[in-house]
Amino acid sequence: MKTESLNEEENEILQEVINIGMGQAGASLAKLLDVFVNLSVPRVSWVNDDDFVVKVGELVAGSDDSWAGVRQAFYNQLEGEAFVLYGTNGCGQLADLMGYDNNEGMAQEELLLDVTNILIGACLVGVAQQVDKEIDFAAPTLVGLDKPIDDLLYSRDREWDQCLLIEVNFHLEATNFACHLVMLMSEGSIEQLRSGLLSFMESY
Amino acid sequence: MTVRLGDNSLGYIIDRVDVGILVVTETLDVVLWNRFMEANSKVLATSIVGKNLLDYFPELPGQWLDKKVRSVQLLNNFAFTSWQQRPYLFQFKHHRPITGGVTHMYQNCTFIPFEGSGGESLVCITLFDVTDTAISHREVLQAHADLEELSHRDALTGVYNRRFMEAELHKEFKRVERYGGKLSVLFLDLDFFKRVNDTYGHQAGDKVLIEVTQRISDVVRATDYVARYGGEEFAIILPETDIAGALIFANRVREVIEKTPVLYEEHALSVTASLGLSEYREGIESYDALLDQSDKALYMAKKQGRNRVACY
Repeated sequence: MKTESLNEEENEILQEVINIGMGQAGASLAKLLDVFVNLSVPRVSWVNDDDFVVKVGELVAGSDDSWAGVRQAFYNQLEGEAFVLYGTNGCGQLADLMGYDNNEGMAQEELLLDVTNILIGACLVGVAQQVDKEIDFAAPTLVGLDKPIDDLLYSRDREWDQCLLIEVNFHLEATNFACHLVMLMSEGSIEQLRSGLLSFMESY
Repeated sequence: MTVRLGDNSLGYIIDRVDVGILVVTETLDVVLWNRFMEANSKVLATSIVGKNLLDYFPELPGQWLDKKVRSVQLLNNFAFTSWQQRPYLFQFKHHRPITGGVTHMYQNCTFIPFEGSGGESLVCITLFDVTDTAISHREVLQAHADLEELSHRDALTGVYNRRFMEAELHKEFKRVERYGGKLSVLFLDLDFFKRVNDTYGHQAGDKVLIEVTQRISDVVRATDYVARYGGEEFAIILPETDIAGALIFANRVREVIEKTPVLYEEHALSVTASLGLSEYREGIESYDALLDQSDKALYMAKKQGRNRVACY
């Protein structure tokens, strides 16, 4: 049985919950880097597995030619996988801010993993807390560097057919760093999320 | 009856689990150091607990570690390191001295923030030995590289195969088309090769092909590509070479093939080759057309009596 996506009302609450989550992620990043972080209001949408690659492609089209992708699995009551996509041009400037030595060979990769971990951790922990669900994280891994978007998203076997797309741009003071966050969740998690959203709403 | 853990059970488990566990304060003073850490570092918990980590391990990336620990505490979020980017945190020996072929233990680490009993900000660091994973990964990469290399080669002679040669020629062609420069292509076909096969058998034919390939390989430059195009036909790509230079080279090849007979069992087989040559000129549309020119030149060399070089 295919899980229905959330209805309009539930989506509105989800949008609100994610706004708060991303706000926390932005605040975390600002605290860590000690710079101002401006972030766009997250655009939240659902796509089916079939047009996942196409939709994500449309979402990021034009903003960059090549991308770096990092994935991180989360599990427990909310389970799924999150991707963060970074335009190659934008992420070069972060290393200094994060205290990485640029001469270190793997610094760029490790930096992307760290930033991803912070963004996904802050955002999803924020969401999970609001909907009162447990969440844990596996270590992030690099999917690819400097690749066209299709190469990063292509997967032989995607198990889940509902993907939650969250598009958000982070702009750091004096840099033009932007990224896109994409999340895939299991059907069970979407049910958990739905029940969590409803109690979140009732508590207001 | 419910079985309960004893008071010291958790401490015992933490000590004996096959994972490195240490706890540090925000100034990197050590609070906990388990048996895995003792065994691998040869530093006992009784000596290091209460002391600064960097005093005992000055080779640790101190600035980075400091920042990592503080960020974990500040954000109250787990952090990770992976062997793929940072092969190890602590420079430990690995446990595969015979089969490993690596110099240290690869580690994945997790940084977990928590509060001490007095409200102190603490960070627990766990170290997983992932040397086996790293070695398997390296073996897979090596196998992949070997397979790729194999897929470029002709099985009998070991020189490149036609598919790889055409791909490389395509790249060279694009390069001179865009940036200018010289490019010549040489086709080589052994004369009356069928007679060798018919008279002495296919093994003799194979021996001739291997020997001829060896002689060609001995005279080419490192930047040239020698490929077996099919049967007894070879192609040689000569980057940065005009037709005059290619002609000198082609005659050398012809000579080294003709000069010495190929020995097969008690027979000395005389071998000669015909060669066709052409160079890139502006207006040639594709690498195919360049190949076609060299092929036509080869046909001329054959027609003019073999054992010679013809230019398009």
